[in-house]
Amino acid sequence: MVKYVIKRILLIIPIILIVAILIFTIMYFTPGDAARTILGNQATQEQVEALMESLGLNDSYFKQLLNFLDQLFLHFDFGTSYINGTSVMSTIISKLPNTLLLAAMALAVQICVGIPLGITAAFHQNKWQDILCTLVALLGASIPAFFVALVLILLLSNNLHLLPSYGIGSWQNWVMPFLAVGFSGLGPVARQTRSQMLEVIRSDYIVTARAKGLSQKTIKYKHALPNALIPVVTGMGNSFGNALGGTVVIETAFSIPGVGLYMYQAIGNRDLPVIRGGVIVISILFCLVMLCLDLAYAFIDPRIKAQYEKK
Amino acid sequence: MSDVEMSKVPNGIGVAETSEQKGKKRGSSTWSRFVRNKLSLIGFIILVIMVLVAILAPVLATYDYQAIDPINANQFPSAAHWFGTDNYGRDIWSRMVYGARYSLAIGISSQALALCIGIILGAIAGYLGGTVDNVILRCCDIFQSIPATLLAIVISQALGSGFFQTTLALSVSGIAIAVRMLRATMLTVRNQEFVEAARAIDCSSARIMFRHILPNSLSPMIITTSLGIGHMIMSSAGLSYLGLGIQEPAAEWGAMLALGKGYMRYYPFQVIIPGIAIALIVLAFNLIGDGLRDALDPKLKS
Repeated sequence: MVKYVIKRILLIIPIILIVAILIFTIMYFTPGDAARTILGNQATQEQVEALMESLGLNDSYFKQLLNFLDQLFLHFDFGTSYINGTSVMSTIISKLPNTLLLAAMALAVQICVGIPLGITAAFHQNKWQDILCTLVALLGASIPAFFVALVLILLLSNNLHLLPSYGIGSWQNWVMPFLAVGFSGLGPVARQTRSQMLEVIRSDYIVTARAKGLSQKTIKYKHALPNALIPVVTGMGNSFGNALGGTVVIETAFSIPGVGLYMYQAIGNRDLPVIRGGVIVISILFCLVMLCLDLAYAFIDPRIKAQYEKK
Repeated sequence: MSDVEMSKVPNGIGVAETSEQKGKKRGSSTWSRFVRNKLSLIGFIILVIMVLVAILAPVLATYDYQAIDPINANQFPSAAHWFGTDNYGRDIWSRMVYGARYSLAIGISSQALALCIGIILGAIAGYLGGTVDNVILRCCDIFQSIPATLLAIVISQALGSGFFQTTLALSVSGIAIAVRMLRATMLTVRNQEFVEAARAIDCSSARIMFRHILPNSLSPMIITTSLGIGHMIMSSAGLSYLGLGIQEPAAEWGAMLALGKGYMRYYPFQVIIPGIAIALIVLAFNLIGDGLRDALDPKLKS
């Protein structure tokens, strides 16, 4: 077991390294002139060239890459923003709690609403509960999160004046983002829970449990549910990643000062270090969440345990 | 594997489907199961309407969708302008009609591209196994450790905006899923008797892979494709909304929504109309995908 944990933790290092290289490489090909972006249109050609030289933008790809990796992994530094010269890393760290809060909200809705909805639907297949689950899941999966956000703003803020449409001052500010991320993330979890549950209900050990004369409740919650939930939990790791990625859109819609909004503004300004930093930080977070899930999984799933205990 | 054999892929699928003895019967019962499901039928009808709108766009459009008319800017929906006009005075109905082309084209082409690469890599990984499989899987791991939305954002930032750039950005973010899906089905099909039989009569690896295994992994592929197209359309709209992907003045629904967002407080219809259209077309693909899953997946047959 310890061997598995160590192996899994060590595996994350090359993945993060390659993710960083990959993102650097893609961004390397971004057209546009970084020095010109920093200095603005009034700068002379010589100033631009001098700045490019001092930023190391004239170096070869490999030299720039090594420099970037060295800064990132040995000094935990993403460089400075082209636009206002602040440190990207410290800005991201200061904005990260808002982003994490949003992603956590999405996860909470998935666990507290999505899973029960899926279970109910599976136990009442083709009844109204099932149809409700299907509808919610379908609408959640089909309506883009930014559209949900805009409709919420229109309805609750512009028309009914119930809630503020932007900022993070009070709890009221978080109601609409919560609804938006929750609604969009609900679908996949509810759907997966339903189909896993249906599959498990038809398996032999449930038939055995029924034959033994166990009560419906015991069968449902002790025998079926734990087995059905294992794949759902893995799927939730993915949804957490999607939620982290999706915060760009939600934060933009509600002007929540998180990593997503920071990146959105950077996209408009072609502020490459910020985009690069944001994507890498979120990817690292995602990798860590998947790692935790895998480890938790190893403890839950007896098959993985057995595999490593034999050796 | 030579290029000639690769090019047989679509052909191989078609041949295997029709030449299979039970193929026709199975196909028709799948279709009847699909149609009996009311939700999937609704999805199918929405899709057919959308395709017709896209094809008949020049007939259905009541104005030139690019014509700027500042005098009639920001008109509310009326008899003259069914869906109103946008901030430049362009007729929204005409733009919506042309926008159907963008959405369908970008969804289908980016999913098709992802699927093609996914089929090739996934088939190789699933069939050969061993080191090749390991390398391909690790590459998928890496691509999947970047949330898909962010990967698409980074790539479209690097490639710039436009139809082909966006297609490429979206499909790269979908490749890993396609590879994994195909590899998984390939692994289950690989060990069945008919593959062993093909091996016994000395078929080449490529022939076994593309003539025997691939056609039998069709169902998960069809389902993934249908759901994938919807997802791609949504992501493409999301990119346009963020100022990447397809941009103004193109009549793309996401871009129209992004433009309308600025005037949402006064002219909410400029946001709501494209938003509903995006949701409808994604819903159609999701309904079809779900219906196909129920119709094709033997596990759920009662």
